[in-house]
Amino acid sequence: MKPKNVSNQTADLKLGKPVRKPAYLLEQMDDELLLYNPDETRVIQFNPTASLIWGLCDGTRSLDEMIAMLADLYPEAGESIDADVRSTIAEFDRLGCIEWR
Amino acid sequence: MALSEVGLLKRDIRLGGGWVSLELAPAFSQAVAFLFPPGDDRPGPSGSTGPAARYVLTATGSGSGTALVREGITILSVSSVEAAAVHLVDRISYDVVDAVHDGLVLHAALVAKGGRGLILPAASGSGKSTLAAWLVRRGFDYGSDELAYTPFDSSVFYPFERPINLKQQARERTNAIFGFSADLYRDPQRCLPSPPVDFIASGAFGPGRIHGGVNIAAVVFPRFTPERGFKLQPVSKGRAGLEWMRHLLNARNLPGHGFSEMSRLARVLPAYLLEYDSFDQLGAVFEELVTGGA
Repeated sequence: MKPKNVSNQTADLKLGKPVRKPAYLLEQMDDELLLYNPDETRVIQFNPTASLIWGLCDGTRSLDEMIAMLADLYPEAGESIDADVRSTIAEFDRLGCIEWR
Repeated sequence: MALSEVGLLKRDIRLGGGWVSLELAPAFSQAVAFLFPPGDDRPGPSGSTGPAARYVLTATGSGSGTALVREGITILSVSSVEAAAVHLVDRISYDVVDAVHDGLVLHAALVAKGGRGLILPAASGSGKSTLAAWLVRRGFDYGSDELAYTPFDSSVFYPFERPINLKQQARERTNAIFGFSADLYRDPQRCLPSPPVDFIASGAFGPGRIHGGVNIAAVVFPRFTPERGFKLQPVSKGRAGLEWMRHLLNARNLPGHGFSEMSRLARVLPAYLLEYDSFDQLGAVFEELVTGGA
């Protein structure tokens, strides 16, 4: 449930709601996502779960709201959702592909 | 090869819509034909503009050496055409690639069998040329050990053909793999030594050559990794797209840096990561890939 090279560290969560930066070109590759930032000439590969979380980063949801939504959708995932969402968002933040509202 | 006004021969060296012109003294015609086989002179697409650069390869003023002139400026003056060869190939390849705006140029070897191609994108020093040579020895047709081009909206790839470029310091290993002797390196029909590399004609490894373009059966991202063993692993389309982008050479010339085109190729072409530390491990892997049996 992590983008490539994500660490397991918990996000130093910021108050607010994450939103995708518009600079990225996107390509859906089956259930994965490729992002390309022409300014940085950098490609990022998201696995299916990270792609799902990325899709939720529209500036309208806090992390807690994302976690609640995914827990409803995937009850079988149990408590791992909380840690996975936080670490994935932390990695998005580290990669610089989201900003906060 | 046309003759110019001042007695120099003229060649156009092309890849897709990119090309450079090269004028050369007749004494260098054999070396240039060896380094840039005439098959590269196929016409570019209609509407292609002038050459990206104009080169002249000529004798130095004293007549004892070789000079390479680019756009009127001498950029190299060395003792012989052999000493100039590695620089000539590098500079011209760079300028040709930099002038391609009508498709993608990959840092990749290209081989084929039965009319179906394999693309082998890899960084310099990863063993791509030796692998291409090994495949030609196994009966594959040779396209390129370094550069491959595909027009937009296509899965047909075209090689930028040049002799296979192997490091001189690895001659002992090359000889062991291919059964060469010191004679090869003294035979101008088969080898042009240009320190620190040897340019070896693909015919020294096998007779097959790709003529024109070839449809691609699979892409393999190879990595020669000593003492890591053998691993051939299909990769997801996302991972393939990531790898493709790493080996795209003319991204800055392309809309969106070629990202959507590379992603399209990643969707349609089966892709594999290959790790190996000995050719003995490879067996018929590539034959199976090219026939879709892997």
